[in-house]
Amino acid sequence: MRAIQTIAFCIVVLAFAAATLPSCYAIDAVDANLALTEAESKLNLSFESVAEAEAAGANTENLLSQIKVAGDLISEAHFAFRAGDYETAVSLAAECSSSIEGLVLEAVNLTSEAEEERLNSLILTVAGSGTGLVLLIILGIVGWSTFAKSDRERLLKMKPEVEESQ
Amino acid sequence: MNNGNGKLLYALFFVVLGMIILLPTLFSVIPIPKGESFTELWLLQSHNQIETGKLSILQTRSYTVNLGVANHMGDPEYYRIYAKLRLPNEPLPNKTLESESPLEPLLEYRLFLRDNEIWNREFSFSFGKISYEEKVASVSDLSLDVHTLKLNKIVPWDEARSGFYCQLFFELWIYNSTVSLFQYHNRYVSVWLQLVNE
Repeated sequence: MRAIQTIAFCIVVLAFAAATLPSCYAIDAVDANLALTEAESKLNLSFESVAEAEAAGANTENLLSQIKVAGDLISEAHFAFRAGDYETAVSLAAECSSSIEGLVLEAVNLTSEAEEERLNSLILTVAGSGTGLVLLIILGIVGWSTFAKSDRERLLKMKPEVEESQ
Repeated sequence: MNNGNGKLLYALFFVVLGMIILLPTLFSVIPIPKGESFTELWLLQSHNQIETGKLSILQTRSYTVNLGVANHMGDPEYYRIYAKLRLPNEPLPNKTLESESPLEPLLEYRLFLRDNEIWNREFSFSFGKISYEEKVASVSDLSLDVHTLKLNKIVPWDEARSGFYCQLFFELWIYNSTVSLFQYHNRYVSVWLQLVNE
């Protein structure tokens, strides 16, 4: 008798738990909105870093395709949110956030690499132009003085001619 | 050629050569001005033709339009497109005030486009059930792309055009990094849908 009472009590407790637990963990509009906002700001930040890397001259092909997938996910998450399917909205927002995990760091690394490369190339260009210019000036001066010297010698070799007047 | 002209030619030759040597440095230091920055947005009907801007819609039949965006802003851009459906008495975006339509979007799409990159996509849509009465047509649902949406729109009879009309339009928004917000880009494309009773 005692055992039956215990089993019955357990069943009642379990049934109560089964009925109440889903409502405790149900996702409402506020939670979904929060998840969407968080995913949105991560996506915005990712785009800004990719745009910066692109402007610096980095190859952002992979990052852009990654961010495009995240864009599709956030669009779907918004669709689910508007349809009142908050659970799907939260899950898609989370998927969006995880799909761009570490992307900002990667973009920042690519930006600094591209900037360094650009700086090196600028230094090389300026050095090349400077050397070329110095060589040109030296050549110009040497050429000019040779030119002036031969001109002077030609003048000195010239003999004055006197014409006799009648 | 006299001596003076020879000297002048010599000096000129070195000046020109000097300029040529300096050109790579000048190009890497002085920024080249960008051209006019803008975004193209277009909507083409079947077979990529620009038609009358009107489609005759029969119940349950599927229709296709082609939507395209081209980025000529000089930088990569992040766009958002809203697909909206309006009745003739509901507001469109305001071109003068550069404000969007206050209608709720049916769908949205996100695009990340490089400078000069083009995106285009075919959208198929169909109306699930249209019930006609004397002066109104009731639309219960719309399938747009892969989604089915509950609409419950009452389309009034348009006396001037003798038909039941609603308008499908796509608004273009652009992400502004300075304020970290999307802003309406003052561009939309639309197609009138005439609901036809079979």
